[in-house]
Amino acid sequence: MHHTVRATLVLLLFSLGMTSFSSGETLSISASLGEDEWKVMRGQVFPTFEARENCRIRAVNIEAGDTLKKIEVMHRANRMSIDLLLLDNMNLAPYVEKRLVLDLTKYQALIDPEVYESLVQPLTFNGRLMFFPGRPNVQITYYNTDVFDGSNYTIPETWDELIEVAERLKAAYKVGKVAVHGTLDTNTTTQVFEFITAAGGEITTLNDAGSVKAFTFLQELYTYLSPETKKANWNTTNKFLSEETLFLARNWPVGMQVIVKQNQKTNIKAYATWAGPAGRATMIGGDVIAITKRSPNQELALKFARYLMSREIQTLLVTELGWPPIRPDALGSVPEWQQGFFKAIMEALRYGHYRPAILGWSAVDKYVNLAFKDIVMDGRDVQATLDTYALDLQEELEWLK
Amino acid sequence: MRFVKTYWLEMLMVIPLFAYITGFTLLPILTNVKESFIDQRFGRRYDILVSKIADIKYDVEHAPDNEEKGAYEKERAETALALERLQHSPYASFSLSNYRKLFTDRSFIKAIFNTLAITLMGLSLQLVVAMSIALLLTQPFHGKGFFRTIVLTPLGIPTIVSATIMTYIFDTAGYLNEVLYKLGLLGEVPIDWAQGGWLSICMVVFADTWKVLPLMVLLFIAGLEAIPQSVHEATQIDGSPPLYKFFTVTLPLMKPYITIALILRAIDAFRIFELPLILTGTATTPLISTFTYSEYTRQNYNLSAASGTILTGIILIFVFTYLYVVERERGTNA
Amino acid sequence: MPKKLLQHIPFYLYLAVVSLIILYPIFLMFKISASHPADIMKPHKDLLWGPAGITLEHWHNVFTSGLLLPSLFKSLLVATMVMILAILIAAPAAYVISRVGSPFKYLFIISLFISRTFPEVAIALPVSVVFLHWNLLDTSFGLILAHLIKVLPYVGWILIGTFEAIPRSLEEASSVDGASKIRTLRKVIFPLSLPGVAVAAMLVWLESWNEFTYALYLTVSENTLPLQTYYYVNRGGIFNSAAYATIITLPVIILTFILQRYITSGMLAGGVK
Repeated sequence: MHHTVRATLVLLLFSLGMTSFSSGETLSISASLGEDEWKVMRGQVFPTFEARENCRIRAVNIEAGDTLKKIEVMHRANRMSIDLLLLDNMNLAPYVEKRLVLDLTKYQALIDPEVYESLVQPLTFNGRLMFFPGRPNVQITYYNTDVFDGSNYTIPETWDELIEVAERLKAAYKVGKVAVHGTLDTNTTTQVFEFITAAGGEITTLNDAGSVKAFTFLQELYTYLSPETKKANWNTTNKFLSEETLFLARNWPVGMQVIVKQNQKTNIKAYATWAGPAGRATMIGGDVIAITKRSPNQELALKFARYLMSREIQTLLVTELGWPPIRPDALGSVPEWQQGFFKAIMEALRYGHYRPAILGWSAVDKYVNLAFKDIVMDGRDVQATLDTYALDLQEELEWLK
Repeated sequence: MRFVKTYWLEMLMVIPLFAYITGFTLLPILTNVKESFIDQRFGRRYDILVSKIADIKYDVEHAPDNEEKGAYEKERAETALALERLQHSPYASFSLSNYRKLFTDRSFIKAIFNTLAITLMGLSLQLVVAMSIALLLTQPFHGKGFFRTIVLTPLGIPTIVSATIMTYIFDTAGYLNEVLYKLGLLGEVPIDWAQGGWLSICMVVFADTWKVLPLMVLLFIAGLEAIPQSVHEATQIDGSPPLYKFFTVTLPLMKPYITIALILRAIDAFRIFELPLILTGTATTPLISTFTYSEYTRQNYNLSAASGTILTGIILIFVFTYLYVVERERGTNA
Repeated sequence: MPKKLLQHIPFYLYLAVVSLIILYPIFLMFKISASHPADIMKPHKDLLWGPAGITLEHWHNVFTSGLLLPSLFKSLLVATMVMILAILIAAPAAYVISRVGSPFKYLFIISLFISRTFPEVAIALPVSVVFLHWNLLDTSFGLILAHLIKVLPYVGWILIGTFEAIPRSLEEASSVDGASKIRTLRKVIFPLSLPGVAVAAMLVWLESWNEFTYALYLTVSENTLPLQTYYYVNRGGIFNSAAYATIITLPVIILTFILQRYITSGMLAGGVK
């Protein structure tokens, strides 16, 4: 009896003790990366910095969707255990709004002049620089080379060609083989943004001419799309492409890791994108570097940020991971199997647009998805529905100002 | 006082459990219910401003120089003003607007319907199948222990794992469609199980039943084994057909166990979450719990709280109605 | 003779069908973890096994990734501690409740279950904020406490049934013999309740081993096994997640095999009467 009690106490104390283990100066970083990407980070990027600055880097993986919650909780309890974040630029405004990140205006000099100006500009909120550029990212159009071999089907370069291909594929295979991200969350918003911008519209207005054109197009296209559209997001699209449930779909470059490297498909390639009435348009996503406000190791974090933006590391990220660089002098040779994809990524970046950095992006997200469901999936009247939601959106945005 | 003196040991034994449950479940639930009565727009803005002020206060205290301090002080004054203005706005008090918004949302009404359909269908299916398996397992036969282990296995599979496997089975290019195709029941076009409507409801019910069956079977076995031998012998002498025996003798004796099983399962079934999230997504088949979750991820905490409160309400109504009906019967039969 | 045989056929047929439906998904999990990508990534799947046969490359990846052992250890530690603590907290309370008069007992039991009626997602955030104030975020101890929240009502329920099965006459006899309350507990009640406690303990262990939502909120750096699986599931790492899923499931299958023999009537009945 007593032995068990003692053993229990020891175990309890042990697990308590595990909470306070620490040593020396440790820099804590969080990012949302795949396993291969972490391997490169831990194996090549971190060690040089650790040696140079005589510190230890503790890196954790926090998925993009969970980061805001976790950082906010830590901030409120005044127990910030992360110093530097590699943040998905999907929704940066809340970090500024909730005062979670350090104002970097006075550290602007840490950004080398070689870094693309266009990448830095959207990181300014209310005239203050709040983030450093990390890596730009953009979706590319994956296609099945067995099907799109040029003889029977060619990859669509315009909206008209896209709808024609989708129609023909559905007729031939009895079920749609093309998909957009239809999960009615941020995935959908991203792709709708691309369609609206390619038609000259503004997503925050929602009922201007361009948006109407885009939604009308999507409404017609949907009838030829795969039923998997409603399950297709940045993760499942890779599965569908690999299983050949889909022959054509847009997705992030992470697809090449999953489809080609992991699933060993040799018949999937990618190109930039198709053109709408107002030309080609893609949305620039990617990661930015943020330093938490209450970080205990601010100096070290700033040094690491500079390190990440340096030419050596940017070149490393290009050659090892095929990440598009933030500066022109970092172009290196991408691994051979990635070259086609990399070319598509760089081209797609050329047509890149940024999401408007407004405080109420979640409201935009909500109404775009409501509109998508009503118009595209349920076939309601385009103009009327958009007018209603545009009004609701404006009202909500006012509240959040 | 004398009560405490005699029962000090008992109280000591009970208090940790209830303190824990009160503190960590009842309190958060009550907080959430309170939050649900705050208008969403107000709630969010208020939240932002209040935490902003607390935050600025911290910055003021730790400002490295007077220039920054001044800037922070200015910010604090501005924010305090905004907060005051907010508190005088029409939305500031107790408000039913969240509930109004939910009940006029087509998607939410659909969610209520889906949740009820899945729960009721699921409960019926699980009841019937679990009872039949339990009956089987109380007969002696070769390999009973082996079969028992098989039936218990899904108990230990974590929900995300079973959800993922079910995705592979119910995908358009999945294993179920493949089986149907091989059996000749399917033509060129595979069945789209996730399209919403009854098909998706069936899919979720099946996947959930798979996972949950072991527990119900165990419960029913316990009930069946509790029926004394004397009853079995008496009915044997009777000579009536087994099915009749089952409905008139066994079933009534099992009633308390069925009640427990139903209530336990109903509570969890109404809240079903990870399975439908992964199998169908929120697009076509909204459920109250996934609705709560998606509002939560969009930082609409008050709306999410309202949705969660409605779910709790539904569960409580179901449980108490059922208990009332059963207790009333028991009262008249006693 | 033939009639009796005929009666048996539907019986065994039903058994076979049920077993097949229950086992096939688990088989799929094993299969995917050991299959060549080419065999899985195609529109018409093989029901039993693909032409390319078995490959151990995914398992090799999992074992050499260096991520398996930390999560395994964390899951083991948390599950075991939760089991011990849950029994320590719930068993005494369950004993008292089982001996208490009718109206109170009902009330107690109902309150145990009210706590389970609210969606976990909504509770998890306020709980994690509190835990954070106590400096428990991202610690195993914090996770243990969080799992207890989930598990205590469940355990209390089962143990109430266990203690109810022990007749009061035994306690009365013991006190007539002159034993104090505590002594009665130790010498009479405790040994008799052991089988029920053991079953409850194992169920708790399983529940904690598989737990996911609280782990999601309260972990930053070191994942538990289910979280690690979720990571791969979330990123389309189907082979890795299948391998992890198998690792999670194996001890479970073994434990349930041991467990199923000890489940007797009354254990799960809780406060039925």
